[in-house]
Amino acid sequence: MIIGGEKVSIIKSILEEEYERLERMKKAYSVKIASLPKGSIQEKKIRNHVYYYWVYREGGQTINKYLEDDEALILRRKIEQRKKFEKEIQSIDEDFKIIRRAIRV
Amino acid sequence: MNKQQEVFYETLQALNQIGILKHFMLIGSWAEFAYEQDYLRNFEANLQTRDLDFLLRNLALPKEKINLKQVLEDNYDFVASTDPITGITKFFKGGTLEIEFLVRELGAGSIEPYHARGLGIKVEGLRNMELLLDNPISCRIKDIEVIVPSPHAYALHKLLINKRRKPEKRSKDIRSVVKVLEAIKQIPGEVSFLRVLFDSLPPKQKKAIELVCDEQKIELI
Repeated sequence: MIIGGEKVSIIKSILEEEYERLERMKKAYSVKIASLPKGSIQEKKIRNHVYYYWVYREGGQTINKYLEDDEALILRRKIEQRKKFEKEIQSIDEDFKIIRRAIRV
Repeated sequence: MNKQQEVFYETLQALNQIGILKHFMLIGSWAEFAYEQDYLRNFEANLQTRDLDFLLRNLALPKEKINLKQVLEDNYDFVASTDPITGITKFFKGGTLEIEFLVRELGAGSIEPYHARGLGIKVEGLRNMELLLDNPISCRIKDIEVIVPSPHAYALHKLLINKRRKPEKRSKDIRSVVKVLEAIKQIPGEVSFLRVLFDSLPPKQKKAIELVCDEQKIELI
């Protein structure tokens, strides 16, 4: 039978384990985000043809780099992934706060 | 479904679309979620943690090799992380789940992780998985069939390994066992299956289970 104090100790140990898991998760997400491209893809329509440019900042400058159609497709997907993972890392940080409060790390 | 449960479902969807879900058995606390969804009436699953464990039922499968790491990362927005020392790869999804693929320990066991060649990753081996692997059932999560151990095997397995678990995990497991057994006993005929399964175990395993039941004042059957 599980009684009061034991219940609290079970919850505390679960939270501590979850905290360690979040640390691993945040590290993995940070490594992945660093490997994905920054910036955005911009489209310019010239005489009924769409041209794609990779726009990003480097050393205080804005860089515009022309992309072939297939390159744009791949890069767009990677940039979307980066943005998605950045949002997910924010949610990991929120969970960190909650668990920290609960176990007072 | 809450956010974490949605991410769990998306994980099942991904493995199903790749065509490999059938090669795995869902184990751990998420199996309880499957019981709650599709097997045990009036059962409320224990707290679901962020670890999601899939046991590869046969290390030699799938026959058709896939690069699981690449497929899950590129097509399904998983984040993979490979331990530089052990070489074991884990996956993260939705900023909320840590997914691990496991196999049963073979023979005398191995210090080294196992190479799941069909998946292109190294995975950890776990002991005493036969009880789970030999008693599969299928549960439906929305439109997806997932293989889990029968709740009877799940409860007996938790009792069997209880003494080898860390103290804090022991209590959590006992809490799960009590709830699963209560739910099993509410379904006519299920207790007899529990008895048959228990009786089929080797004497040493039966003794280990009875010892934990006595200590924890659990009425098994």
